[in-house]
Amino acid sequence: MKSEVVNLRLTAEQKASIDYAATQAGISRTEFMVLAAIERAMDARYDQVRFTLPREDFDYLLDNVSGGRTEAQSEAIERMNQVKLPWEK
Amino acid sequence: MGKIVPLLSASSLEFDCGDEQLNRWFSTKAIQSEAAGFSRNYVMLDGPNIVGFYSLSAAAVDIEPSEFGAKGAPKPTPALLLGRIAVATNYQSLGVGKRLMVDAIARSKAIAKRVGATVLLVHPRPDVRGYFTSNGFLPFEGSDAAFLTL
Repeated sequence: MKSEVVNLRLTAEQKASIDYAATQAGISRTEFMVLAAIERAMDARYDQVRFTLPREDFDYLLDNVSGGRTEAQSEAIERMNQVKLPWEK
Repeated sequence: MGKIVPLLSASSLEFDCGDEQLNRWFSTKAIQSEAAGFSRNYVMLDGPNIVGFYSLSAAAVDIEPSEFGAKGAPKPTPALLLGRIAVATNYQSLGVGKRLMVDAIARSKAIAKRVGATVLLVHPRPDVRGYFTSNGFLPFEGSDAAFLTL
């Protein structure tokens, strides 16, 4: 996958802490920082329980709640319901 | 085979879905999350093996603070969250993910009969959101999240 360069500033203490931990883990500074940041980012994404939406999205949700699922939605759910797992065939 | 049970009934926590972060969360944080009540996790089993899992939590949807009026809905509006869902590498592309989703939706509907909740939310990575939107979830414009009315 294509990657991009990101520049960031660290204090000497922060850099030393990161480098020490990376050395202890046997990986490079870059690898350590990427792994740590991605883990934090994914946990933040999946643990988020409060969603603040712009008006259009909020109205879209409320309209669907009051009007009920569309036909296309119900059909998509029904298709999932019909799926047979290999050991059920 | 294929039974879906609460995480705490599983005899092992061995699980590899090919996603390092999800694997790590499952092996190191899922039990703590259960104990704290942050999420309830359900696993599909093949004998002792974990085929896949998903997690549910209470959630809320709010409108940006600058906006007035919410068509009579409370702000925030109660919802449920399908926080994580993953299938083990050996069982991918067999329909397990869909079965887990169907189970999560049915469980959420049952919960919403007893506790107020309008929709089931998901917050997938942008590259996998299509999996949810092609299976009945509706995408928001302003975030990676998607929802299904309960």
